[in-house]
Amino acid sequence: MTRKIEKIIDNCIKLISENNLSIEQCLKRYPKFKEELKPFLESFIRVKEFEKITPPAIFEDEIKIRFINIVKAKQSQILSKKGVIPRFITKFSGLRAMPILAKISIFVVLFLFISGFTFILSASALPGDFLYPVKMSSEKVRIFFTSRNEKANLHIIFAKRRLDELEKMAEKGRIKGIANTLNILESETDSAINYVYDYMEDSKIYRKSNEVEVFDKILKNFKEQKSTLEKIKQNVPDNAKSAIQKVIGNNMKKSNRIEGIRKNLIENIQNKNKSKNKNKGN
Amino acid sequence: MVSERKIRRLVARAKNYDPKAFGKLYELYVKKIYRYILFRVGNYHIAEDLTQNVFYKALNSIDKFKFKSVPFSSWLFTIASNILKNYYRDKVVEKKYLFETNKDLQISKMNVQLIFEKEIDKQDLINAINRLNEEQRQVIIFKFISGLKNKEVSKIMKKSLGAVKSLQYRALRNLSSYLSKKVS
Repeated sequence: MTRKIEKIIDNCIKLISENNLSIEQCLKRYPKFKEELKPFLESFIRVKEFEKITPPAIFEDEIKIRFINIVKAKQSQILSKKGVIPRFITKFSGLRAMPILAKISIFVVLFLFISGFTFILSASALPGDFLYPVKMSSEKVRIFFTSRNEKANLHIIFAKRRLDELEKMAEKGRIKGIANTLNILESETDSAINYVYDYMEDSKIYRKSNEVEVFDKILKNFKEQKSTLEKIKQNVPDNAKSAIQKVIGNNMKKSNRIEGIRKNLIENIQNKNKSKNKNKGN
Repeated sequence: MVSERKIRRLVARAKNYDPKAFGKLYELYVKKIYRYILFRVGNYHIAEDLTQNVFYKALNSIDKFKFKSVPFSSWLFTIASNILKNYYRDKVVEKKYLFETNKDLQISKMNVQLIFEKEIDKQDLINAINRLNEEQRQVIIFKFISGLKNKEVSKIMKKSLGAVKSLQYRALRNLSSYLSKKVS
């Protein structure tokens, strides 16, 4: 019975509050409980009068303005923290409504697409071209991420690239960057040689036979350099000719030195193999 | 009456710090929160300060709010309730009942009487509310003074809908009993 009354009272309160029914109208709906309900609903109506209490209008407005200013400040703080997304993009696209992960993935995809496209374009760039720094940076990154025992080979590849660039520059008559590219060519070859010296000192990284292979590649590269540089020399002005001749001379010296080391290495390997075979025979 | 769907949309926008959305939510709830706090502390100035604190705290933690079966209003009133607890803890206010006889409370009594100047017995009503137990008094304030629905009250008080209806019934029965005794 109490449960029933509880429900009826709750229903009447709802009707009075939401549908603006009077106590009498409500009581008519439940004639059996009229006497019981009346004091409950009268108390309710009396308490409900307190709903008319409101905060002072000045307080309400002041606080609202203060909060809106705080929200605005927070909004701009967050936008500047995000930073990566320029304001004009978020303003004119649906990015604002997107969850943060979606935004990040869009920017990652865009970044990869743009950087990949630039990387492909930069492959054929020559010194002095707009995209040449991209090409050089990507080579530096590649060297950074390559294991130590492969770095020498990579420097040989890059030396070959510089040589191709020099050839194209001479064909196009772009003399300005030749001296600088020659320097880079030399430093690439030197880096390759230095790495082989490193490998020789640390026998754990490389086997002697592999060092010989790398030396062979370097010597082959020196030969290519010589023939290409000789060709280029004929198509460039005198001041560039002397710089090219200097590189050819340096390469000759280096090449002789490497050949000597290579011979010693091969002899060492052969001697070791012989002594191993002897030990096995005994 | 604003639909729950609209409130959800406003909250979603407010989470992204949309000033208009937060302003709208403020307008929707400021009076209800203010009345609730006023009837708990009995002082207009303190009620204003604490109401301000409620919205400030809501603003700082709105990004953590999730509509997991908890209405936004219940979340806001829970913040208000916690702020009141802290207020009483900090001030070491020991009194259990509102509008007791001290300076602060006399101000609020006076203001309430100004609003209801045609009725002489508003103080009797306040005294009657004060005589209710804590839970019954809370239901009265949440439902009839702040105008919350049963579902919202049940979430704030962590009680079932049936329990809220029972509390409402007992609170009204006791109120009418106290008031009739006073009249007689």
